[in-house]
Amino acid sequence: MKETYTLKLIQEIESGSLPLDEYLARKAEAIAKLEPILNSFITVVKGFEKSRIERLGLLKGLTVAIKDNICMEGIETTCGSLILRGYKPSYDATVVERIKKNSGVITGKTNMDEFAMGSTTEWSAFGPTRNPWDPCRVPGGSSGGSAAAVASGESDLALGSDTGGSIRCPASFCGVVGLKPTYGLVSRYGLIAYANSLEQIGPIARDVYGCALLLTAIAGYDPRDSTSIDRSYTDYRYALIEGLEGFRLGVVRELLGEGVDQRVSSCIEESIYRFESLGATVEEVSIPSISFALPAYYIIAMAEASSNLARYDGVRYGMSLSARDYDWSRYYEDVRSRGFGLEVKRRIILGAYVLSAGYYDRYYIKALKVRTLIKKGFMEVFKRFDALIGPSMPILPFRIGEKIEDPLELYMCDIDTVPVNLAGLPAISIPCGLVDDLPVGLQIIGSYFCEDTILRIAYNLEAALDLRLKPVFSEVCV
Amino acid sequence: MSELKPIIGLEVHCQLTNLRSKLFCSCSADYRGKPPNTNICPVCIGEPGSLPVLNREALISVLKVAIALKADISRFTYFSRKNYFYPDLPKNFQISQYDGAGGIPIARGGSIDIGGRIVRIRRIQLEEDPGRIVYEGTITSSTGLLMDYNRSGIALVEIVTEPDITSPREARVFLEKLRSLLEYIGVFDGSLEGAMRCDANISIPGGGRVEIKNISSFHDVEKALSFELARQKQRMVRGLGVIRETRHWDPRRRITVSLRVKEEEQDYRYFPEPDLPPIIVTDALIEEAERSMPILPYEKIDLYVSKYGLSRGLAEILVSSKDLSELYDKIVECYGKPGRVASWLIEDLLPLLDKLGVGVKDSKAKPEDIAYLLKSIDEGLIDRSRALSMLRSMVLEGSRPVIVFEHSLESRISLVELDRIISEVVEAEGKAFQDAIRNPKALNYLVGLVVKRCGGRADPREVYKLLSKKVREYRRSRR
Amino acid sequence: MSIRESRFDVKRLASLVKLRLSPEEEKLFSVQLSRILEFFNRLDKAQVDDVEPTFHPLEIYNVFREDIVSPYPSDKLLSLPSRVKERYIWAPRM
Repeated sequence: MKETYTLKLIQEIESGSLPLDEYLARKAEAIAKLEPILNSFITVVKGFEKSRIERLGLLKGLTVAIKDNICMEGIETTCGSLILRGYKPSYDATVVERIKKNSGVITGKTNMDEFAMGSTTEWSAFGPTRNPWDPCRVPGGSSGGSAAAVASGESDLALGSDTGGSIRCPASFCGVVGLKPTYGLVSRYGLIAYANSLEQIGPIARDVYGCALLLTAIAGYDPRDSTSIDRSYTDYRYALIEGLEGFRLGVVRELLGEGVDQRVSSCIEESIYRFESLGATVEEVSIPSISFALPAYYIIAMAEASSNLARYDGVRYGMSLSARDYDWSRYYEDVRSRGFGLEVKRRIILGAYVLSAGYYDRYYIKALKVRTLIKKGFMEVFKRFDALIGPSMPILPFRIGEKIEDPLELYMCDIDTVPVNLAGLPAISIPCGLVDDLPVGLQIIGSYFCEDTILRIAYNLEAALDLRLKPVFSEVCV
Repeated sequence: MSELKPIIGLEVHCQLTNLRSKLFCSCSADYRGKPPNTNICPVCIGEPGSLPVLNREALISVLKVAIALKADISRFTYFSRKNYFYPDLPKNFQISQYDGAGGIPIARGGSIDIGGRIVRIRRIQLEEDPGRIVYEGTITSSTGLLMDYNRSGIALVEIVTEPDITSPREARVFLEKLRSLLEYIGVFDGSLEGAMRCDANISIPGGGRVEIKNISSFHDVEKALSFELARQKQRMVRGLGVIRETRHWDPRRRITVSLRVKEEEQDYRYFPEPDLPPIIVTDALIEEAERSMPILPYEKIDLYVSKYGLSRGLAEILVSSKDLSELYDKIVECYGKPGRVASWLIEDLLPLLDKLGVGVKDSKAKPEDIAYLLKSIDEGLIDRSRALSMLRSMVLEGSRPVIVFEHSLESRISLVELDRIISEVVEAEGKAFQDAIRNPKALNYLVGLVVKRCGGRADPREVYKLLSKKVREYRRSRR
Repeated sequence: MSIRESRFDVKRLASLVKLRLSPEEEKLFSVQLSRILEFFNRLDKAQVDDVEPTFHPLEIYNVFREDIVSPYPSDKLLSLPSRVKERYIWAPRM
């Protein structure tokens, strides 16, 4: 097995050449040094570097940063929103429990677009996160804090959540590996909902090995999540051993359509040659229904969000207003109007619209029918291919503030990521090259519960490319 | 004015009080009397990130309700979110089932017979109960609300009728029948405060439909509807017309007050609950519900009429409460004589309970003791007034009936005479004696005859002893 | 904006989700949201007449839990609201 970053790190910790306390101290230093520039974290867990671990479990004491929409008992969890400021969950999300149980050290809660609505991390109420490759540029989003923390070495592993690309987009922009699991593989218990039927928690790491490792730790059935699937335990690290001889890969035409930056497509093409040289066959394939994916995605996501975010009313947790003589309805309006940012307001208003009497069939039901078409389209193609490939993002990381004024233009950036969320499929984004010192991500889409297949393909590409990416702003241990 | 017959439909919410836990979380379903907010968890308080998981027993219980109401069970059903803001709703949506066109409740159709008239059921569905609001200060001067979420998430079955009810009284009768039915199938206990609540729709010819909310007991339903009917009639008579609106029943002032006119009707933006997979109601689930179904009131009435020869009216009274009919069954089991037991229960026991203000369920008298008492009355061992005072202490204190001889010790029959009478009876009732040899229970018949012949001067227990001895002797002699 | 969208009433919708928009937000939104709706209208071209809607990404059914009580340490939840009075959670008046 190729000795990539995470594997090397584990070997040094296990052999004692990098004692755990020294490792953790260096992580704390990296955070102290880089945070003023990057702003990856909303909350750093105080004293995480003093964690002592009795018996090293699967994660070997590696640091894990958690997106701030995943509940951790007693640690402020804001979803990047003022409305949840001060909210300290009463419980651990299932994934947090599992990370603790597998001896991961949680470093903090990472920055994100408010309630995961965005693809730049500029919509955070706590300021934007900056891209470690170029601090003038966005890290992608909504899990921008997690991806930036991993790319910069503030943390070696991280959790993101992916509703329409929120793991793959920042992984691509920050030059790290991010995996969105099959819907139902990872428990959503403790993930603060944006769009329940679309989202999954997933791992972000510097390399495919790290991704496989963290996925192994968090995946699995949870009786507290009714949409979680009961499957036998898989150690995804074993998926990485074999090669790609005889693999059939499909390049999805619709993912490389208009709007894709020429420099991005050339990078993807180079990877295609790489796959062929590794023994895989690559063919172009078309899933026409994907052309409707973006509006369908936004309709469904906004509909669910408008209902999910109704609970933030300033009574039971989070923000509250102190004025005494208040009518409840006015109080709710005041709290919500002050607590939510622009993008959240836009989405919940539109979400209410597409569900309202007279528009439900025209927008919401129609979007769900398109979803059926897209799902069927993928299923059809997976009869002939082991995995599908395309870019993760159609464009390179852009400047902070460049697209923030135009919501539609930002929505268009999700063209390559949303189809898999509609279908519930797993997909991984892996760096496949640099353009003008900015990373480009390749997306590999697998069939249901075929995380092992896409990890294997990603791992082989990673080894073949051997990019050894190191952003300008980074502090790494090995 | 009486020609303005109202059209009434009810929307009844009953807590499934048989459940141990809430509908979507593992908090206790037994929330009453607990200090505020002690029976809550992230799910039922709507803490971010928490997810609902359906209580299987709640589904089975609603299937039982559907079977009891002879409704059509949907083979495919799902939960939806009903979106509206209100302080008692922790998530500001309620997990319920869509009630509009295209919605699929757990069951549809079915009916209840309210004494000759049929009230059709439109829909039976499952949903969660909101929290409870306590007013800080009085309602009008209140500076804030105090929220207690102990009740939040309790399983409710919602039963919606067609507008088949034609008077406030019928509405009450319907609710009483419904309550009795739900108690029979063991999913509901109407004695628990606030376990049954109801909204009512009422209109009179020429007027708009008025929805009355917040009727919290089935006694109040008649009062609220009577008030509303009178109000509507009066408006019609005065030529003011009745507007379509939602009104609130104020049980303290015993009036309805306007809440909102229909134009402002809410848009609930229902959509399928993404956190709960849909339900396929399989044969196995229905069979499971059927297996745990007891005999139902209407079936029981038929049984009492055909097997026991009771009049339909008598049977209906006995079956009107599950506790009463169970008591009746047990007494008949001990004593036989179903006709006699029925009339005695209704003529003597029920009025007594009523006078004492004790429910059948709360009575401490054991059925076998009641049977013994009734038997003693029938055998002339105790007169009615003594029996009633004895019954009183049995009901209140659970004391055993002690049948002291009505006659003085001197008048007690001599052993010799008793022995003679026993021999005579055995002689005369040869067949009964043969029966008693095979089946000791049949001995009671002979005991009764002997006691009667003695004119109440014999102790039945002693007679029983002597007769048993005779049986044993006879057996021995046959060997 | 097409005639079909002429009924798009930002203010009414905002009040439906308990938001009170500032005049600037209202102005901004009525333009932006109408544009987004036009983008949604691209779905008009999708041929979906005989297609069933997909509410849940995976076809799973009948997920239940047993009717077992497992109490939660409710004190943890009472530390979340800003105002608690004798274990009641304060909410603004009616």
